[in-house]
Amino acid sequence: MGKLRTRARKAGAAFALLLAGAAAGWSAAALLPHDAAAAAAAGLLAAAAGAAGWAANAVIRRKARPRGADGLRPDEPEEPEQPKHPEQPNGREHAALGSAEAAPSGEEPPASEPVASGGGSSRMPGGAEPLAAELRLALEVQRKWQPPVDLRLGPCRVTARSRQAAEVGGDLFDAVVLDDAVVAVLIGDVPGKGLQAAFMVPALLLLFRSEVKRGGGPAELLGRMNRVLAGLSAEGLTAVGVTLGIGLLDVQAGEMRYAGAGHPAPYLAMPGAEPRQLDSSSLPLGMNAEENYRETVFRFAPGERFVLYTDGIIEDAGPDGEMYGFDRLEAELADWAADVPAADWMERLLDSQESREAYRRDDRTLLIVEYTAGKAGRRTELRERSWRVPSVPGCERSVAAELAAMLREHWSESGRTDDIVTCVAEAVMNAAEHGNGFDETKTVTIQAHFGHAIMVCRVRDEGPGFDFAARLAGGRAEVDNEYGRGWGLRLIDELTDYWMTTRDQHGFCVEMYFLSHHRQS
Amino acid sequence: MNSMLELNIVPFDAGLSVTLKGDLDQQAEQKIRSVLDWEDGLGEGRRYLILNLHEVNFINSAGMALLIRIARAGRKKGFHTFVCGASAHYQKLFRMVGLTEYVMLYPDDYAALQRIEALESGV
Repeated sequence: MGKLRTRARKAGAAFALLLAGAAAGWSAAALLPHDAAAAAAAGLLAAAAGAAGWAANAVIRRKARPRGADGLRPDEPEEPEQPKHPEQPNGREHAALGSAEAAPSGEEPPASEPVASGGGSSRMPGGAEPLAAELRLALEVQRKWQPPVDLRLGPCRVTARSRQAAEVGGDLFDAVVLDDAVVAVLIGDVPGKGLQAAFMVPALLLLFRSEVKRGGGPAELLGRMNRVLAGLSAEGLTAVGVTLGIGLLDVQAGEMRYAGAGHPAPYLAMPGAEPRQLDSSSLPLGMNAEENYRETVFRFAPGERFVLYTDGIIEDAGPDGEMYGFDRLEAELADWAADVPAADWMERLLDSQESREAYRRDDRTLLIVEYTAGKAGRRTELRERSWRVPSVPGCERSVAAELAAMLREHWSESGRTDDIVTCVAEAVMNAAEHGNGFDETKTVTIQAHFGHAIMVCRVRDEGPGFDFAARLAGGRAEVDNEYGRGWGLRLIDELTDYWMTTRDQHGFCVEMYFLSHHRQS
Repeated sequence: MNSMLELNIVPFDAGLSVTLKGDLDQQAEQKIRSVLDWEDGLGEGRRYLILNLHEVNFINSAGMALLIRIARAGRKKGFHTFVCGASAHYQKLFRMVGLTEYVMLYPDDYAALQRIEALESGV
């Protein structure tokens, strides 16, 4: 028991350190040269593959011990040095979260409880509580890495919803605005759940965000990410790979370039018409370093929807074992009325699957791009605003006042007006003072985008950026004249739901996300 | 757009009541420092300072830093600082940055004065 506890603690500590490193690396990626950021992501992926396997093996060894007549394992004094049971060959079986009890072999846990992925009924063994605690922490970290997506930019809207089968799931999704004219969307599925997914998902998101800013089309992006993953030679990866779909949307032209790597083919859907599936066949990432990926290019028709999903949607099984299947999804897409927002449609579909009360083995994720240009009555829903102010003391006040008025008019039900205005004012003040050094010839650019449930605000300056982790970690200056300096960043960290920094050829950018409290309630 | 800070100072038996009007930000620092040398105390043995923020519409981190420096000076010079009239949002921010370690928050002047009377009478 002692050795298991030690191992579990070590695994948990390594895991937490890695995630903490990953979180730091994410922000550091904005400051690093792109190659260095990609290298950091690759390092994280390599560590993820190794460490996840190591920690999972410790759990699997413990799980393999014989059970007593009551189905529970005897309290063994020491963890054996050698595993008593062969390890899972493909790395898809991992520790479940949140339970320190052993379940009788073959008994499936209820859907509401945390479960393990793969075909077994693995549960967290007794004595691995520290690991479970660290995994719960990992869940929080992973949620931070995957902020909710409800993004409006010009005539386009991107919305994503995901529900996990295990507490730390293997689905990933993202939407990144590039130069305010292109939106990059990502959907994917890593092998396994639990510990391995907790490692892999943030690392892949870091790799994606790093690579997408280096430029190139989606096929090229997949190629670069594939070479990183294939280079790891991790057994779990080469066996099943990582499925990904990447789309780059030119917002003004309404043109989408999409490429998939072993991911279920997306749909294009118009209200009142049969949806059509785009052809996108290729190997998942990580299986063959030489794989070439193919792009599909199309132009949106007004009102058209581009629907990405993970296999958990299709393979979701009912109580009788019957899969949800493509036919039902296509029927739902065909029946999707023009006036039903994507978020509502997705929630309804996910709810309807859950109403079947089946044991759920896989995460289910949907990401939808809507294009509304030219559609009467819809464009007025889009809300966005930008400002450009010279870097002078007090420049944040005019932005704050106008933003407050706009929020009170259009987003008052969110309950976030004061938080948003405070954060934006602090970010603008920092940008003018620290980023641009109060140089009046340099400007601070502010962009605000509203969705139904989320607001995203970007504040960009022309400076070199800063290391926010170091700033946040720094203690208070005890000198009276300096006391209280640096609190702006602390307020941003406290008041936003999610924030990050990026840097590109135009300068440094603080990106802040706010969820509507109205929607949350 | 910036609303310059105005201060109205009213002495009372044991302290000073200062009503602030306008924006409390870095531009307000000079104005606040010009009315009193806070590091030297409130003068004439006064032991209580009430800062009424009821007419302050905007406070940023620099403004909060100003408040906390005044309150820290008070701790060194032996006067207590009461802040009243701050909105729920700013009260939340004051707690976030630790200002409430140095000041006491009250809804209005009257409540602050009641507390001061209690302190004076040894309650």
